[in-house]
Amino acid sequence: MKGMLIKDFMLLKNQKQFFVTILVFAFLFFGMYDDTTFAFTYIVVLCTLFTISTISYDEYDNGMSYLFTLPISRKGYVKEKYVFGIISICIALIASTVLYFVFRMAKNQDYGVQELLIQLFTSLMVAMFMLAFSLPIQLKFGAEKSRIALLAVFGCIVAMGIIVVKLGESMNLDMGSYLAKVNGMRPQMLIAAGILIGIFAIFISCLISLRIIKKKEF
Amino acid sequence: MVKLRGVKKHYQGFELDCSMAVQKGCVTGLIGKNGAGKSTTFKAILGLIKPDEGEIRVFGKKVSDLEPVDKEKIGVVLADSGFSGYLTIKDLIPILDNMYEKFDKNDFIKKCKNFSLPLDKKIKDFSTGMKRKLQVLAAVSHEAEVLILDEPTAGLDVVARDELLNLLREYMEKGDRSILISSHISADLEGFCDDIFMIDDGKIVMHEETDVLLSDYALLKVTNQQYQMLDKKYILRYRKENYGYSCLTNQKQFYLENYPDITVEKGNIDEVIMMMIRGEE
Repeated sequence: MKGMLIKDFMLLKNQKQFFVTILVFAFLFFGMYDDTTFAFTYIVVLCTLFTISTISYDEYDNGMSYLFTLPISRKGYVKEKYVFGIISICIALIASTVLYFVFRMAKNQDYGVQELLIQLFTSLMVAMFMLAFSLPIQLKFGAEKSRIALLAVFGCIVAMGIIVVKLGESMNLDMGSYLAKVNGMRPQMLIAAGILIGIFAIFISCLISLRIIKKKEF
Repeated sequence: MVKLRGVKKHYQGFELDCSMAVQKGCVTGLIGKNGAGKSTTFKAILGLIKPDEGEIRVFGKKVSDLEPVDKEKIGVVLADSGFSGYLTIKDLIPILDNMYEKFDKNDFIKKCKNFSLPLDKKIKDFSTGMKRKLQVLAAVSHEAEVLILDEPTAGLDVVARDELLNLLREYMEKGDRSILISSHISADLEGFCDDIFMIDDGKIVMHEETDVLLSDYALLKVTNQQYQMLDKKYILRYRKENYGYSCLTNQKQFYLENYPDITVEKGNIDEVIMMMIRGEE
């Protein structure tokens, strides 16, 4: 696992430009807006994409075959990708928090710890779902086809949402009141629920990825 | 060390049906033309593809049961794959160091320098020869017990090939180790392997010790008339030529003694391959 993690961090060196771009925009967003929720999510989501790109690097020039002759198991490979993803998310969260405090100080605003926590957890939640969705798709379809597959999956989710709403309407269920109930919940509750669902999603995603990788031939 | 029994793998237009073994302390060669099934066999041994039937054992264990600890004892070169091209050798060192308990860092760096491999250049910018050298160096860097080398000398010039083969000979000097190697260049195998398997169209068509191959195999060049008179007991394959027939035998002595008139050419691996694949039974 350690060797694989080192490999992925070494591969990240190839993404220097992407990294600098993220930082520049992060500075802009933190500087320009007082509500930094978007800036947080922006940094964390883009850093989650690093994990996906390491799989593309692994696949480059048929590299997966050789990779699996090294002392790593298929299970170990999948686990490492999730661990790497979680480490990337944590680094991104820490970096965002530092930027948050730096800009708050520079702008002479109060620290707003509760605001920070909400933004931290919201972006964590989004990142967890991103990771949970994109990793199995990337492993299944590879670098080329996975973009299309990802679009298809999001399309399906939207379509399912619409179908659920339409079904609700036809069955005379009052969807509005459910939404109002959710809206009425305290943000802490919503975030806690979101994080729990996120952890569950990552767990399920990990199981799916394992199945995919075990069936794969290189 | 490595044993394949009735291993079958079906692809559209190709069927692998292979049984073979690599003994402890031996260098075993696998030869065959392009698309004969060499790489498929290697991939099956390494667990990269799952055979439809049969059993593969490495160190006595089923391939599917091999743990990372077992894989540390295998060094690999693949014909069509390698380290991610976006890494440099400098990046590889800590990676290998953390993956293999017995990785000899200093020796690896020394050998990379001896083979003039740049430590700071991305692997994707290496020439084919450089990539091969790097893979072989990585394969022998961690005290593996068996090396599985698919075309390790492809794309190398004569000098580099000789250097690599010397490196592999040096590797074999240290006790009970084994190598399974495939190559297009039969001269590599002739001077290096203890025994040779020949694969054609997914099937093993011949297995012989190299010494026997070189001493007992021969090509008989005979006229039509001589061919009619010939005892065909020890003829493995024959082929029509414009002067008559050429016949492959594995009992050179028999024909030398009984047919002093016919031309007997000493066998070499290229001739044997050509006859085994192109000749008729």
